[in-house]
Amino acid sequence: MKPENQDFENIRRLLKLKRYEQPPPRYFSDFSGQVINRIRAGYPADRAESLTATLEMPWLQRLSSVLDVKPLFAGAFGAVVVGVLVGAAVYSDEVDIPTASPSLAVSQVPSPAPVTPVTVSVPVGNSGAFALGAGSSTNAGSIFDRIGTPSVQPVNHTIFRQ
Amino acid sequence: MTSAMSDTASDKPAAKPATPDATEEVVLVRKAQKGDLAAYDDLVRRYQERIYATIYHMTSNHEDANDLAQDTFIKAHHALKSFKGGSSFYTWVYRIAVNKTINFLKQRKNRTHMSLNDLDFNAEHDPDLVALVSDRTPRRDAGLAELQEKLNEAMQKLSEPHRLVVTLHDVQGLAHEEIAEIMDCNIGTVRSRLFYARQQLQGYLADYLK
Repeated sequence: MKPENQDFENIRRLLKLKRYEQPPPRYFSDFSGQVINRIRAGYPADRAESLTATLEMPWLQRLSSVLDVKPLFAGAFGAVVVGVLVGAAVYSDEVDIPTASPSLAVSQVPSPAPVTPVTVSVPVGNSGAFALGAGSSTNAGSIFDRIGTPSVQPVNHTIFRQ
Repeated sequence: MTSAMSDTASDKPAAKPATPDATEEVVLVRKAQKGDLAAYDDLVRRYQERIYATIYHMTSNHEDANDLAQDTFIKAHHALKSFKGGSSFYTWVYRIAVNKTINFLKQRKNRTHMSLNDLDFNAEHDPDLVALVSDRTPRRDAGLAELQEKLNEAMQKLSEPHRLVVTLHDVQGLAHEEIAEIMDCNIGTVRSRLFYARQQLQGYLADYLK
């Protein structure tokens, strides 16, 4: 039997239904304008294909494709990666110090020697006197040294020297 | 089929004599090739409905059809300089649309998401369709909307070449010769694909046809 002889009348009638499927009203009145605007704006012709292809890629490949076409993103991405690495290095250094110092400091402290009181004279300002204890930091070279000392008077202090 | 259909669509000699409409089209194409966007706008307006409809019937999705139809006309504009006028502009744009749609459907694979357009009011008065929803149909409760959905589901089960032949011939009313030119195959192939596609559809929609 030739293909044309087979009766497909019913299916052809049913397929007529598809001719009545119409897009929203006024859809075609805007269509050509949108096409021309996209041509004027220099849009690529493969929007749908590239979108679909992008969605199907694994995440790493998708990221790579974004970085390929956008150098700004690539730079920003590189900066973020470097920032994370530097941050991680700094954080790891800070974490090491407190774990090692206290135990070592305690175990290496020498036994106290006999204490001899010594009296020294230290010139200070009007604000009052202060005492220097053994092991405390000095103020030599501090920014406070640059502050003028209008009236200096000698004051006696007692410190303990080992 | 698709391998033989290049995206830029090779030109073939036009078989038909030039009508006033065809002459006007040639003038518009020449103007558009020289960068006249108003002329290209006229060309888009001429074929937008047919191109959109072909893509819509292939995808059963309005949004996809909108995107692909726009992309088709933009791609055609980019490739306009390579169009030598061997075939009609209409056939040339059709080939671009068909290739774009088939590539899209291959990427989409089986993930069909239908977004169907509403049926025109006149469908209820079409005698052929009224007959289908009559007492001859086993599913008497089936309305036109249900028939529309089942028909689109059945269409999506066909392979792309078979769906394309049914769309171009039975829905859009193109002649076998025109379809052969668009699909870049011979008329015998068009006929055999049409026969097979109708047979398949008849099987899928048996409940609505007996």
